[in-house]
Amino acid sequence: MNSKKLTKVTCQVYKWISKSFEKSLNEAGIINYHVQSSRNVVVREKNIFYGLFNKIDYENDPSEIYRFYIPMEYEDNIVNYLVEKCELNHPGRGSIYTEDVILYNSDMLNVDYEKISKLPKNSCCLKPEFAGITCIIQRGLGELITNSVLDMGFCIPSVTYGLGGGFRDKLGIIRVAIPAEKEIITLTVSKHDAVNVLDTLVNLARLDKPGKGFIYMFPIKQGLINTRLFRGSFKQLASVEQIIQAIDELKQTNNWRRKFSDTEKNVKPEKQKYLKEMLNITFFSNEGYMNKIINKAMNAGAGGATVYKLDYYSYDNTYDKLLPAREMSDLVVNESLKEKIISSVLSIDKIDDSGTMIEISPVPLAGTYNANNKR
Amino acid sequence: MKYFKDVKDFENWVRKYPDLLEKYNENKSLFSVPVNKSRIFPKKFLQAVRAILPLSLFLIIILLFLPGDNPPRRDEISLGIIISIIGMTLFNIGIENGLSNLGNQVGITLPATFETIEIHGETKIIKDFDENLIIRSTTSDGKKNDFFYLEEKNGFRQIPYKSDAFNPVTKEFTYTPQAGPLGGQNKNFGFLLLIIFAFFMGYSVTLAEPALNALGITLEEITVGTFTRRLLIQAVAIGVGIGMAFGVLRIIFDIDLIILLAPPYLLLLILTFFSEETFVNIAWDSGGVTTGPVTVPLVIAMGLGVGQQTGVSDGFGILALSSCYPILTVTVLGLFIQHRQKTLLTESIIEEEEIIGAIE
Repeated sequence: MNSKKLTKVTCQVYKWISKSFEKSLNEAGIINYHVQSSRNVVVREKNIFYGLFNKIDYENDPSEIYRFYIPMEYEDNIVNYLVEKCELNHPGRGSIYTEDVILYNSDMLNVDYEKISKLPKNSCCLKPEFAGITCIIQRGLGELITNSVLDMGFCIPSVTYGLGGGFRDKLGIIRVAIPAEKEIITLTVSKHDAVNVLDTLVNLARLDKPGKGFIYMFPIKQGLINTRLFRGSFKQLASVEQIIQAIDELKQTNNWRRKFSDTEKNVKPEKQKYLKEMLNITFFSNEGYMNKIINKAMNAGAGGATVYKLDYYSYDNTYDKLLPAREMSDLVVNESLKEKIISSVLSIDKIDDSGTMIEISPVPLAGTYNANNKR
Repeated sequence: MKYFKDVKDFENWVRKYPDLLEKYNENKSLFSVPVNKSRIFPKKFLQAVRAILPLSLFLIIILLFLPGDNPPRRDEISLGIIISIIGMTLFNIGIENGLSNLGNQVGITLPATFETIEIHGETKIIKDFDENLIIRSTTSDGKKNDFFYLEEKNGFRQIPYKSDAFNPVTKEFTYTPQAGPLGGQNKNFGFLLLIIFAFFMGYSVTLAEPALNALGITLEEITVGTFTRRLLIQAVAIGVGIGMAFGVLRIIFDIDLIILLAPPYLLLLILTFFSEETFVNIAWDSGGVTTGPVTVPLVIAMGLGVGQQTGVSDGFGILALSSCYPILTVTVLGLFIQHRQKTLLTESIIEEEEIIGAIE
């Protein structure tokens, strides 16, 4: 199986503009992509009894996460086109960010080079000032994290559902007593605040205790995030999102709105211990095949995995090996295990027929119970 | 005391005694058949096995023919099947002995909200009755009524005298206490109480319905928590409550079912046309799961009880209305959510235009 360096684009848009986004994808030359259902949590001001009482509450909005891979040389053109066409640079529409990844079996994915070449060549409007954080916890406990993230004004949390595997599978029949359902919260925060946000969330959700969950940071090459955290009445001539956007445009950076000072790190060293030199190995396969892949990966030394359901779309209707119902699995492992896991998975019989793709991306920091015990 | 396997066994035995058979045929609800409870568990266990095992075997056979590692996690599946058989056994026993009995009792006494009814379970036999104790009263219209005083622990109670309740041979007077109407002489108040009760009963039994809970969990999974299980259950419960209230109204006033059923279904067809596919599918599916093992015994018992007291030929139709109105409530909820999403989209477009203006 050959591997290639590509740009992975992740775009999260609200469901009510997803149709126009899919149209834009086609116009931008993206032939096939994966879609995952998710929800965004925002703060909303509710007026009760014609404004007599006001209540601040959290609201869930349905959204879709689109993932696709493009050649690195066309990144700016495609991303700019999507941002302009779907107005993602305006608050309340969605977020988009790119990552540099290595993808195995990338031949299964196509782009329309003819359409891409016709896209206008502008400098990219995305900013290289973000980092991603993914937190995996038990289903039902995500509200604590999402509400706290919104209260502290970090970003709009995005929530998806998945199933945990790995340690639970080793317990035999007793595993029925441990729920497999997981809630995965993804945040895109300022690069300067990322470690402090990680510390805050680990303390908040007690992720350093056994069985509480897993959290890791992933690098974002460049991105544009939705700044509309609050939805309510505008008592001023301009909304906070409008002011934030205007200042970002003037300063050409979002460093001015970081929440933690650099000097704090020097005074207070990192409170938590994190796992370093880790990799995120993401497997994509047709539905029903992922169990085999995870079993092989676990036997090769992986600690655990989270499995997600995805939909796969192809504009040219070539569903040869990639079926519409797909699964994705994230495994965060030590760099030294990468070759062993990949070769173990590739040794599965007829793996190409299952539409399996493997994505490798770096994980600078990961936090869990094991991290604090490895001193 | 003689015990019977079930009601059928009792009916076979009672055929040997013509006098008893006549009384039984007149009013079956008066008879509480003493069933041998020790046979209930094996009977219900067999029922559960017959329900679950063939289906499980069928699905396993299908999976074995399909390619892949099928069935996965065999130990979990086996344990699940065993637990569901045991669970279904206990659930059926509980429903029969608990909720069904409760439903029957409620059905018998519920008409007391709007009418005077006899409480047959508390029939007393007064021995050595003396007819000289009977006192005659008269109303302002000249109607004559007979009564006597019965001494009880709390004092004396006035009991109406009926000659057919007195057996001159054994000198026994059979007295069945009466209750109601709750609203006094104002029947309409009693009807209102009954309708309110029917609404709350429909609402609360729906909350307990396991099939609806399962639908809610699936919906929450698919929408990643945007459409919560609680929201769906509440919407359906309100719909069932409304349906049951209309159902009881139908029985009280003997309204044709088509008059109450046709308009909501017509409205639903129109709303279905304007609604989004996702919400429409969920709404019509929720109508199908509302009437389950918890709802049906209670609703039927209530309908029959009220129907008997009001003299309506049958007390059915409540379930049909209870299935129709939840579809309406969930469809309306879907339309509300659709409208909300459109409002949010409009807001973002307006803001975009303001930002463009500000930057220019």
